[in-house]
Amino acid sequence: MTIYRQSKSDMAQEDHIKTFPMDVFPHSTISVAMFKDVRKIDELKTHIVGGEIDAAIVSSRMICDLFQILVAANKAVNAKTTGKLKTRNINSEVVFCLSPSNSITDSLKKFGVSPEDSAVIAVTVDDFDGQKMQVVLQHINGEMVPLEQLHRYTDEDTVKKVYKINDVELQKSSLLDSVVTRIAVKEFAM
Amino acid sequence: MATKPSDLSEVDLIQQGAEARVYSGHFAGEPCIIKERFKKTYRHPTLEERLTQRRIQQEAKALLRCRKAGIAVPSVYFIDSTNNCIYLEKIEPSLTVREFIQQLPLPYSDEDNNKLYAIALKIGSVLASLHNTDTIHGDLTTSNMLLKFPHDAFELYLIDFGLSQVSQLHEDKGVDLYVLEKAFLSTHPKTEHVFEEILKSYQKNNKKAVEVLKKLDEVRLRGRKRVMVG
Ligand SMILES: Nc1ncnc2c1ncn2[C@@H]1O[C@H](COP(=O)(O)OP(=O)(O)OP(=O)(O)O)[C@@H](O)[C@H]1O
Ligand SMILES: [Mg+2]
Repeated sequence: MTIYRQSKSDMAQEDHIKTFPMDVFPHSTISVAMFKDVRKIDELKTHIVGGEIDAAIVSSRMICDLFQILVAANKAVNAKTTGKLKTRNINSEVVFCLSPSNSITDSLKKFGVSPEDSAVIAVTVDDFDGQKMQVVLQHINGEMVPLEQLHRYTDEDTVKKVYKINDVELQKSSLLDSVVTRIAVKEFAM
Repeated sequence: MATKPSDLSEVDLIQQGAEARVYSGHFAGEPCIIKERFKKTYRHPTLEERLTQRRIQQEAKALLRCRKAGIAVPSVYFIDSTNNCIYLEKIEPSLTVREFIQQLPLPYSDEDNNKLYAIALKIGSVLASLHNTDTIHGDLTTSNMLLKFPHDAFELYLIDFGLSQVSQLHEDKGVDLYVLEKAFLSTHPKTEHVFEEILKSYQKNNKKAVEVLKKLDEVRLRGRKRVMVG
């Protein structure tokens, strides 16, 4: 399975930050961390909008597996390296790529964090010295938890609704397979 | 720019065709199949580049369309438009229907015939669903169907949708079946009885089977005439 490196750190909590090399972009890495009981989302959002946070912060309700994040991040890195970013930067592109919609506003609204969220996932791209995630840690008011707990926070009904996945499809496919396919083919789907 | 599949670490070339190379590798930790399309000739570079792109898009679209209709197809992980590659879920353990049939010794034992009938039943119903959603595969052969064996049951996956299109025409569906019939009977001698079962199962499961099979008959007749005229 996936090989990952743990970030260098002396805080035990930070063992929960995982960094993944990318097969197709060998010079890039994706780091992921998950937080629960997050408070003061509004403040967090000002730091995202203000640009202090150099990370994608997404609602964990819409995420059913780490692989979903890696598929979207890979797509975002591809857009960046081919000069085809559809949004402002790599972070908003990761959020946009997670969404099945081609509308940027709609995607950022549905997949970004909102005040109703209590569990959020932070994704950084090319965070080679771990600094980007450190800044996230400074600004997030919540508890970091292992990524293995990700499934607990998935809202499957909303995932099915947003990605338009019905029960006929799920007879032959897992929810995750249906989700990643929509992410991968979204610009050709219409 | 994404790495070319041939430059990825730990990939195996599993098939080199005239229009595509197929590799087995990994994507974000998951086993995957990478299909790289390339231009056949360099006579019309821009035109052919566009055709190559179109085929990848057609493949992606058809895979989503089939999946939505509950037809078993590989999931898609990544489309690399720079290198004309599509990264797909690797169906494993699996055999193509072609490999499965070819490993059975002739003449078929009763037991083997029963296995063949079970597969024919499945092929017929999957093709019926495919055509119910107005998807034409465009290249139906026994190499483009995978049998996945979890336990003693099996699942039939359709692959290789690069020539697919959307059409409601009975004629197009009839031609789709005709292409399979030709490929099936020429690749697998003495399987007329198996192909009959495919059509029977198709008839049971497709809404417009009577019209489609009538077209199949017409296409067969035309095919024969063309051969006679030479
Ligand atoms: N998703 C998959 N999982 C497992 N094996 C696969 C998958 N996709 C393709 N293969 C294997 O690779 C072979 C070639 O794939 P595919 O048919 O898509 O390409 P192709 O170049 O059109 O091949 P062909 O020359 O047979 O038409 C298949 O016959 C099958 O053995
Ligand atoms: Mg093929």
